Amino acid sequence: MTDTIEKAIPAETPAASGADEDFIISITDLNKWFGEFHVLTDVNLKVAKGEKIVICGPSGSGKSTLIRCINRLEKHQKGSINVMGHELTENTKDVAAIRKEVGMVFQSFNLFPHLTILQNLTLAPIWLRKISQKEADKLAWKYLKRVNIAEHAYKFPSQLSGGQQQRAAIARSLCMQPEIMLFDEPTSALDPEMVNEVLDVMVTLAEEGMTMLCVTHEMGFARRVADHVIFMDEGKIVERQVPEKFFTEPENERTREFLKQIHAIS
Amino acid sequence: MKLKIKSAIDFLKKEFFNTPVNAVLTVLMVWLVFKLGFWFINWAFINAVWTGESRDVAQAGGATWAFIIKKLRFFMFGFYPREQIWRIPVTIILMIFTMIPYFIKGIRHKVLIMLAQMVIWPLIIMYFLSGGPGLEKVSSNDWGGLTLTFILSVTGLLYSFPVGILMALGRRSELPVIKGLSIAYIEFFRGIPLITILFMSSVVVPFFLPNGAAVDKMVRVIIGMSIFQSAYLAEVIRGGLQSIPKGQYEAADALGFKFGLQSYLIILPQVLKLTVSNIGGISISFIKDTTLVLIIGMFDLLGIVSPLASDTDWLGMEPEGLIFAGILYWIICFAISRLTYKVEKKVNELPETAEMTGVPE
Ligand SMILES: Nc1ncnc2c1ncn2[C@@H]1O[C@H](COP(=O)(O)OP(=O)(O)OP(=O)(O)O)[C@@H](O)[C@H]1O
Ligand SMILES: [Mg+2]
Repeated sequence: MTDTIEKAIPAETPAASGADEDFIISITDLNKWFGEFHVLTDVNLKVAKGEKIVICGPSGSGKSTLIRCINRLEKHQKGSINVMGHELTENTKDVAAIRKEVGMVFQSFNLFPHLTILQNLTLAPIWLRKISQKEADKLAWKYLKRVNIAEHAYKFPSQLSGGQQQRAAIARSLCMQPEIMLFDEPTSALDPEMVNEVLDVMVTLAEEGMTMLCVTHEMGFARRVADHVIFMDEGKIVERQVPEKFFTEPENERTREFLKQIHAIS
Repeated sequence: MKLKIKSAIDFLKKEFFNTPVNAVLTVLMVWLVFKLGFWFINWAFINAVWTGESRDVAQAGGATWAFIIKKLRFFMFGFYPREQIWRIPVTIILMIFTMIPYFIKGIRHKVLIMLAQMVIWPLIIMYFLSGGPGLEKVSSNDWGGLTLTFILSVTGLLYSFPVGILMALGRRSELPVIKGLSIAYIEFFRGIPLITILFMSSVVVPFFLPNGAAVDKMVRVIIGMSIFQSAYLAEVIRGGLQSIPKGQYEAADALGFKFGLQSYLIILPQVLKLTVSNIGGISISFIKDTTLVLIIGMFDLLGIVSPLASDTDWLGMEPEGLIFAGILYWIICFAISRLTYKVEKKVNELPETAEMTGVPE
């Protein structure tokens, strides 16, 4: 049953020709169930360092679940996930090692409401990377300026707009100086006029060479920064393409249907 | 003005005199309230006696407050020896001193203060109240009155706090053993009345203690009451934990925070803010529940009324004693209720952002 789908996946992505250690993330035959429900079926995904991948697909297709498996917010039951040489298992040491290298940005920002923006940014560096308050502040200011919210540093999350909160959340992740950033629909909870300020930050980040996995339906963003676009449906990766091809001549029928629905086909 | 009176009359007509039955009831109630009110004012003030050496001064239809005034020492300090009483205010003042660090801005980890208090308070109480080098021994059987109520309340609340928090966290643990034990603890101690716990700690536990390992009854009672209170506190905290959005846990996980730091830095501060008023509420209940120790022969503020009123000079003075104790309890509980309200307001308003120092270059 899965045969037809696997054929649709290009056997070798351009970066996939080298040995396994060229990949910063390599997911092999990943399967996951929620109880009886098979959310992810035989997912294979390799990501090279510096690569930007946009993941799209209909609601419930398992996009969030897939990227949440990468930093073990969800456990998988079969297959393997290797991030920067750490195999994800029950072993909490590996989980901790991976979470150190992987930042995540959520749809609902999830800033800590009882802390100021500055404290939100410095909390993890101080307690987990064990750097001094002064160094952490310096780091935080650097990223606050980078995402353009330095003037809100002493405010609390509830005093900021959605766009500002999401930029703060990105900065908070960056303060841990991760190698990989995961984004789960970072702009879909935002009012339309705030979407671009967040996307701009993400574009800059991409240009600086960050490895990014981004679940989003912002096809303009995908065209601009993605090395590959992945289409998921019913827990499977149906298609993986470079953006030019993905948007003009997708190979899979379901991809075409989906793109038509979100008016992204050109 | 006229309009106001008119609308007031309309209101009364509509709410209290709308049917004949209601009208009769209204009149009856008003009459009763006035009657009782007058009777109480007469009893408590107009016919009351404020000075005197024995019940002989009592007047018909009036309170004998002279009893309270004469016995005030016992209401406050129980049967603590008169010449040693100075040690009680010293104890209380020292305990209050340990609260000062909570208000020092520079101290970040207030939990350390609490942990310190858990060690320092018993030392203060043991040395100054019980006695030690240079201080005469006073048996804990002689502690009583408001002093005993105070000691039981504050130590019970202090110890129940960390235990309650740990049990609430344990109840949400992913480790089945910890989760099971926490649930068993909470449900067991919430399921039995405090009286039972008090009887157990005063009567049953000594049987099981090895010979010679005599633990003071006071200590046993405090432990029992702390356990009881911690189970209730755990449930309140658990409710708070449940209302923290899942995203907060996930964001903390994603940053790499493990259970302990995550709870301490991110989850519990939010939970405590949410549950201030509930914690205040169960604390008030707890203070009122400390009166139950009178059943196991301890003379707290309420329990001491009866022995004092059996003094042959003051026979039959229970009403005055009970009313006095009631008033004190009411004052204490009302004060805590106000305090809770203030704290709740304070933690829920956004702190001043005035301390900002501007954007560094
Ligand atoms: N904790 C869970 N328990 C049970 N089922 C779940 C759980 N989380 C997700 N699911 C189910 O798994 C499927 C995939 O969910 P997922 O959130 O990964 O989809 P998605 O592609 O991100 O969708 P969306 O675009 O709506 O965010 C959905 O059918 C969802 O109902
Ligand atoms: Mg999703």
